[in-house]
Amino acid sequence: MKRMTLVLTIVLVLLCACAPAPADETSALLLSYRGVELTVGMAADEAIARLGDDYTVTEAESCAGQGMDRMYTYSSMRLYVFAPVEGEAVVSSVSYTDDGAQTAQGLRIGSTSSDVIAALGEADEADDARLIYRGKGCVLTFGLRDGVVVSVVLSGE
Amino acid sequence: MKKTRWIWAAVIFVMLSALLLGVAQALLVPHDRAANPEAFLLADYFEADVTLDEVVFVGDCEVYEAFSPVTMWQEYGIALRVCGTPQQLAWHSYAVLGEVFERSNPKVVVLSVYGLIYNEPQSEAYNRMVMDHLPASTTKWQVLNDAMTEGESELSYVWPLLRYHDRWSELSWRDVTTLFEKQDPVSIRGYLVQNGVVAGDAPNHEGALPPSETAFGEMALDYFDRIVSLCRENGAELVLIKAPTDSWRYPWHDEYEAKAIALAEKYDLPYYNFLNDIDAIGLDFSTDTYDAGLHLNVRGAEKLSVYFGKILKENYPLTDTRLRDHDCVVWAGDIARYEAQKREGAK
Repeated sequence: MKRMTLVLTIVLVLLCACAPAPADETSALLLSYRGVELTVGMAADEAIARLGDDYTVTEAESCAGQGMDRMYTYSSMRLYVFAPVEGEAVVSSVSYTDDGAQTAQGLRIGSTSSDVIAALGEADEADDARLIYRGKGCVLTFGLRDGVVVSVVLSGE
Repeated sequence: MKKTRWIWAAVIFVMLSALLLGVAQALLVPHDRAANPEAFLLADYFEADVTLDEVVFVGDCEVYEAFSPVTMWQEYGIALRVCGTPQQLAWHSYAVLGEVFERSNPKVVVLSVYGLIYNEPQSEAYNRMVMDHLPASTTKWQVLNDAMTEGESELSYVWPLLRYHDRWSELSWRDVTTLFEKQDPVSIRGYLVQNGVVAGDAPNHEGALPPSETAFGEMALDYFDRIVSLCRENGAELVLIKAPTDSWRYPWHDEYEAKAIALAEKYDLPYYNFLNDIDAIGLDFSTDTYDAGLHLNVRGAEKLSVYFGKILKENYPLTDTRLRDHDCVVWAGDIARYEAQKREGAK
């Protein structure tokens, strides 16, 4: 009987044992704004603190209360943040809104597709409307019109 | 004699283990409906008598927060049920519809097209709000293969304890008490009453990310095709809709609209984009939304239901079930709960 109790206890302990989730790997793709390097999955509070407080923020609760989505609008960039119910808020997307923002390589809205390829190399996917670069867990998309960059978006995969 | 004793010991061991694991699963798998109503919308469906439903809505929050079955019944006698769940994607809707046709014989199926902008699994939480409620079937396992996000396992859908075993540290006394009580439905025939008013601008997606490059992608369209076939095999008319909401968070880009129209034309299906009918519906986004325009509140849902109910009634051979005594009795209970939830929210 003691042996049976022991076995049952072991079974329950094993079932209740909590295996930690693997940590997210850091994205290799970055967008810069005001000298701050921004990437998907980084801590939002830290990014916002470094970017300054001249933003407006809009927020929306997810359909089932899984967390809050927030959009921080700066003069030339939008920072999208997901704040889960529990845990740290993280950057989910970054989008340039005009040519006042540029990447560390000097790419901005108004650059040409040739500028992008010269700076970042051949895109992982390309067509007339976009150049797409894929990193770990994220995607950097340059939207194109007539060979000119009209949007720059870093988002989750 | 010794051998017999060992056999009995083994039998008792297996039975005790099964009992303990059964209790552990019942306790650890989330079951408090009031704590997360959206997670139990489909539980309401599977507990209801759905045999006489004539119209079934499937899709995401664009159905379960936009259409009031009570209003449609009171105005037109339409026997309607909503089978929506948060971020219900095309493969989820297909699996849900499979169960709907097992249980009822709807004449019309209404599908929200917003889910088609997603071509890949998005979230385990939203997966579970559908798949955990579906009974075991070949379709369920086939869909699971496409629906699961990275790190999920099929086995955890067979035996949810594998997924929730680490919830023991979050357990509350309410988790224990709700095990022994019959919990009320969270919805009114699948509609989740939202009473709040947080004014918003008229629908627009200023600030939204650009259109997704994978919207209306291969997998979404493959499941859409299966939905069309399933409806046709079961003699149901499929109707496509877009709720009258458009926001930075849930944008409806022109590119999406063009693809929805092309899809409707390809399959010869009716498509109603209610963003084009806001004035005709009478929507006022200073009063008819509970979250600044992302979704409608009950006031907005009632207006939209009056508008769309008329379209359904005029275009499809639906029974006016207000004329049947049995239906009046069944609906009376739903109406009483609906009005109670509206009164509760108005306090």
